[in-house]
Amino acid sequence: MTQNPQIELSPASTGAVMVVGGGISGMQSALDLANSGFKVYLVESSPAIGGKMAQLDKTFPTNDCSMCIVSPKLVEVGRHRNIELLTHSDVAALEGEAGNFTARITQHARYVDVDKCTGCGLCELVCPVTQISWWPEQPEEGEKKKKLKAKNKRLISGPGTPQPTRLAKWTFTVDEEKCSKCGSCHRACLHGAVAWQKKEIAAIDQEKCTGCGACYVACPEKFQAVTISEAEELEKNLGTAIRARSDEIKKVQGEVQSPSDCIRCGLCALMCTKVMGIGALKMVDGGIEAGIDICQVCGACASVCPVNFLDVSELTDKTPRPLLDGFNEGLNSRKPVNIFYPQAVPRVPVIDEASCVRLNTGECGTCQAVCGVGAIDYTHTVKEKEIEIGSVIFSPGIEVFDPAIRGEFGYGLHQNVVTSIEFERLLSASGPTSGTVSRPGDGKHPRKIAWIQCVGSRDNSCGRDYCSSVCCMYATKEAYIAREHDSSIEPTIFYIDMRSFGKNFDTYITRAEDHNVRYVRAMISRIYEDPQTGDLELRYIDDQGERQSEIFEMVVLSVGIQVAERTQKLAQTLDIDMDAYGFAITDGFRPMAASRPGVYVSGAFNGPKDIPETVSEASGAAQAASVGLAAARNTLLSEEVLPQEKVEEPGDPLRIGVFVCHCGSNIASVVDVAAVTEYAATLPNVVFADHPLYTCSQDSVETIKDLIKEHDLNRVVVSACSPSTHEPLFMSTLQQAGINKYFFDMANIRDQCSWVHPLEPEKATEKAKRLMRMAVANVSQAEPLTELEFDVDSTLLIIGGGVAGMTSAVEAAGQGFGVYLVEQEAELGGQVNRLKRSWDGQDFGPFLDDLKAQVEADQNIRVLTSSVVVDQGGFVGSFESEVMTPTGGSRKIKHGATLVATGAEEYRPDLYGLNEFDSVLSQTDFETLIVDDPERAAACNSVVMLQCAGSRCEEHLSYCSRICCNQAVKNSLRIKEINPEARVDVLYRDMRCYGLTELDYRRARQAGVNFIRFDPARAPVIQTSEDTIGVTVFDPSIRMEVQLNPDLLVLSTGIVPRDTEELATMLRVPRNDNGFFIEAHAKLRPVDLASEGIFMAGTAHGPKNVSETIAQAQAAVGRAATILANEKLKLSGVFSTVIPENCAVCLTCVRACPYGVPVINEEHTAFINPALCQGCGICVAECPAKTITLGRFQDENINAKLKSYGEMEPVAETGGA
Amino acid sequence: MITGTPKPIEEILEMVEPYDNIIVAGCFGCVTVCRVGGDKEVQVLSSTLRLAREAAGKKIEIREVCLERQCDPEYLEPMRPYIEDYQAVLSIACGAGIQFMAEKFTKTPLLPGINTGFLGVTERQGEWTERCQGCGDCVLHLTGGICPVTRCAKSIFHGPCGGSVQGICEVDKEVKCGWQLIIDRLVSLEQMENYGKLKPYKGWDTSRDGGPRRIIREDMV
Repeated sequence: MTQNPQIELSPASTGAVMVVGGGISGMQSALDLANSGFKVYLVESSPAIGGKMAQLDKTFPTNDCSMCIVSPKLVEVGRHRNIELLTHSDVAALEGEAGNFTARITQHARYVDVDKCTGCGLCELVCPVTQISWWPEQPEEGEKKKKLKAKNKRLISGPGTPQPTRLAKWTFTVDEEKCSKCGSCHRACLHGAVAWQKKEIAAIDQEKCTGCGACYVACPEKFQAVTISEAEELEKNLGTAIRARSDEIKKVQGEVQSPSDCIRCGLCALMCTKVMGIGALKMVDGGIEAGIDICQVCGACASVCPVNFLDVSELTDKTPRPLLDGFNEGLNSRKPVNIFYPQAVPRVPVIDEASCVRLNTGECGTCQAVCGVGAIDYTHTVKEKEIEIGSVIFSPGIEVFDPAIRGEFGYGLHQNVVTSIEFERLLSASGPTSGTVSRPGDGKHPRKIAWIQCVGSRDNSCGRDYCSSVCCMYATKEAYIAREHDSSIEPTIFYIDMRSFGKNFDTYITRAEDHNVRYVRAMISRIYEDPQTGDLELRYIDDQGERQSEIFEMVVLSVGIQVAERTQKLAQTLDIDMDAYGFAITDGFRPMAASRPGVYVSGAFNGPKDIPETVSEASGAAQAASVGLAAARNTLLSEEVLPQEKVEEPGDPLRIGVFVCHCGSNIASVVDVAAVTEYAATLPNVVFADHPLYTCSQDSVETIKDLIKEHDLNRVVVSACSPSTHEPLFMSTLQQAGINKYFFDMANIRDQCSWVHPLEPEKATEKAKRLMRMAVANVSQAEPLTELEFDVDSTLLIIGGGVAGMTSAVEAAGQGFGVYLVEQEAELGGQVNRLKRSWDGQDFGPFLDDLKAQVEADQNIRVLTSSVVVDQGGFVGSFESEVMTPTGGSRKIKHGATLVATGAEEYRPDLYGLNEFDSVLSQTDFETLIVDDPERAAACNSVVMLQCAGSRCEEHLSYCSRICCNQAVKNSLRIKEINPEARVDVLYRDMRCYGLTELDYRRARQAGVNFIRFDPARAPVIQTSEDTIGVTVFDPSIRMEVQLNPDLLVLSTGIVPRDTEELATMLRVPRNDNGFFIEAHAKLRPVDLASEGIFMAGTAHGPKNVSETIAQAQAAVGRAATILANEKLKLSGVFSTVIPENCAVCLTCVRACPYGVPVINEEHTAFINPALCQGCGICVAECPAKTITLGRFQDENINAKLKSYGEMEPVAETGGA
Repeated sequence: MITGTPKPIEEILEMVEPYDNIIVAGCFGCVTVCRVGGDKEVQVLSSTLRLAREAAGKKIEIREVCLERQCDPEYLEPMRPYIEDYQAVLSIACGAGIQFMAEKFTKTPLLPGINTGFLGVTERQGEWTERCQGCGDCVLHLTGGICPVTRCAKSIFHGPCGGSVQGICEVDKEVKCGWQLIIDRLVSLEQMENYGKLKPYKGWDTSRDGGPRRIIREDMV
């Protein structure tokens, strides 16, 4: 706990961490901790993990699909045996202290059993409720329920008269024993089908009966003399039967879009009276009679009407309140029982207490009746749970600003003004419009769309003074992607400063400009709506000072981010300090440690930030939270014990077992699973076939294990859903039954069959047979694959002894790992040796001295100065490197992981007399001057600072160095402190004071620092000589040229990475054109390098300040710990192998591999190290000599599947599948 | 390496039109490396031909082979026992390999499946450029390692000519002037004196002008 010297840890700390918040930050922390030997409790208040990232459509600057990259993380968290997910839960209290906390967790009632639920989604499908109801008065306990009587009735009729249908007709008969001869049924029947006379038992004429059920509804509750038969699904309950008949009618008729005449199927009245217990609807000659005063407005009648005859708003005297889907930002509706989003983990619905009929009136119960595994339980209550943990990571995330506060934009009034997060959902393929960009107002496809930046950011008027850091980029992304969806869209972004300060962000902006995204530097004062067209008029002043007005069809407000009120309350519960805006207060040199020892913060709650920085901070927080618990590592983990794997002898007969899943009715309602199973049994070598209701349910999985033993199965095929979510489950089932997990294949007959062919059940059944047959053919060819295990060396090699390297060394040593710290210079410290104060004003001197002292004092750290790493061999977990020492000798080092922290230095171009005249300084020179020679600094009456001097231009550095704007603000404030009379002019292109540093920018302006913007096309003219400096700049705010003759000219020159070309080649890791190392994944693996086991931190990755560097160093150690903390590592059984005989040494694999794994070895053949291979198969497909093979994906496998596909002629003339 | 490009499939289909039983022969040499004639291309081309012919209602039988090299007689011999069972051989080796096979198996028609390109290098995956024309009299030591024969469109020996504008050759905006490259290199190597050492003219008798060439290495024969 070297970074936390003030914390005294009790000797017996708990080897578990609680992570609060299940967004990308919490998930990353949880995974890193769980993979480095700690038990994790992941507490999430919403029903599923995923957070904001799951809501996004694409991510900048790579345009990767957000859901596609986050969902593997979701699955991994959901399946990790060391992570206990506590969703739909909140932290109620945190007691104890660092090392030994006790947290009290409130688990809200979910009403669905997480262990039993298979996530099939049937409950949500059948639930008829669509609105928030007004509940009828409930009887007192013991009292009987009163029948509601309508006083206010309204006739609902169509253009014509009702057209009774007999489609999927049910049979109604009178139970003679129960009939009380009252005649209600006779009176209710509109078709004269019920014969009755006083004191006689009623009888139904089946010829005349249309099956509307009016008689059934009318028969008094106490008699229940009318019975239903021949109704599908009635064995479950009436609600499911109504749904089934409604679906059947819809299927035969086709979806009716525009409302038509009533077909008098009677389902609405049945639903209202017999399922919801209201009785507000009655069938009459002209249509439906609605009791508008007693209607509870649940929407069930309308949702089962097969022809859209009913409109909820007409059935009631109240204004309906549709249940809106919060995940889709309320852009569409949901049911009370609802799976949070399609890819949710856990994929288990929650029943909403506010809107569920069952939970409020005791009626309905349809979802429980339909659930095939008995997962619905209406008796759930709130539970309290206490957990013992050693530390806490608080990563609750953020919410977006409510733009209604900025009334001038008309959000909430003008329908076509949306927020950026709403627009994300509109872009998303799984969103409310399936990815179609359409206006909420009228569904029209907008052509001209405007984005307005800084809504709720950089705005003192609404208490949001800070910059939200992400909006410039996400707006650009949304504009860019919108055009990808519909190239006729003309996007315009209205902005103040373009804050594209991150890695490769400027390049992204340029790309967007090339794709016709228009940028206008202007503040929008107000939006006016044309009430007839819904179009929106924007007024602004352009850069010529002219008033402009422009019409847009849609406006997106780039809303800022803020800490939610409930998050602030939670932070108070955890007793951690927050600033005025609710963001966590941390020390710049310990960026993740919250004010309460043992509690760490990560993600946007720790200041606005984008996804990669969040992920990096999450790994860093995981490291910071676990370093003090290192002694308790591996103490609370559960180990899986597997039986000895059965070894197959040559000639052993194949014994294949096939399981065809119903998936409730997801598959079985379309595909004839019994027929598929029967067919499976006829295939060669299939000795067992069955069709479980849910193959993945816990009891089914246990049954499969038993069946494998009972029938001596040695291959298993499951025909069910998607392998991406379920294959790991079944593979581990095979392992538990003692057979090789690669003796398995899955056919996806749900997503790829029943879901896409609901209207063609016969063909779908044939297709399911084929898919299953192909899987059987595939497993027949399967080879047992072994997963090699090897020992891990728990030493970390760190290259570079600056702040990043030294921080990493101290942290890694604290984790109990050995460290080699190799620095090429004679002294540790790197670039910070030349700096004075950090971005937040702290003195670097004591910090650096302390850090150096810690490094030198730590026995686990071996420092090698004036040394260079010259060679690295081996692979993740077991590297061997060669280091050249100052004596000229070389030294071999064994280590399990490598951390590149080679840093960067200040760029010093020969510009405007820098390096030549005393009066021309770089920002670093200036900083040194202020500290070392304050008198000269104070004597200085006028300073001009030039931003982007040699940055963001083709001749010098093409990128933005991220830190210079803040450095200029910091230094200008310092000079104003020493000499308030001094004139400071900062000439800039965009002031990129992101996050909370915007506050300093504001302070600087208040202190009288002049900020003059310039356009690169009209750059300032600067002439310098030994004694004079002349600056001429055009100031756009006054539209005049300004002449300045300052005493000092300070250039913000940016930073350049150190020369790492040889190192990069040696480590086989890529760098970008600017010489910064390229992360393995720009979003989700920000500190990993492309080669497994190699990580990076600090400015070697890209320009950043010291806090960001420290956070990244901790992150890199956190990531390395996931390797170093293991005694052994297991490799996947699926890896590429080169058969050397035919290798033409053509280098194709070497060039094609995205991970840089293949090499040409000394035997003159390509070689692929199985420990490094990711098993993607690209080399296999590319190899021109076809001499690379890959585990389960051999030509034999693919050919067997293809051959099997063609074996049976399709049944349907059109080709079936 | 010898480079090449696949012939358009229409052209190949026309060539094989008369046959219903052929061999498709690849080569594990240069054409594998430049991805036009390796085992994978043999399989892909054969499948394409089968599909096209089946679609046209005229099935074709294809035997797929990939030889170590088609330009060495020993590697061709294994085909001898069965080659006459087939009506033709479609070779996707370079022009040398195809011709050599045609010479060795005189009774079977040989069909070229690729267009042979040049002696070149891989700039990156999928991009090759020409470096050598095999003129038989190398001067690279005098020209900074840049060949005037190949890199100059006119193969002149005292360039640059008047068609060189700002380092670009007049024949194509994409082509750099070879002589500009040579002079720039010589300047940076401080070897401009080599410029004067070049012969005022080049004898082309060691090049193609003397007809098909032959190399006899007495020490090896």
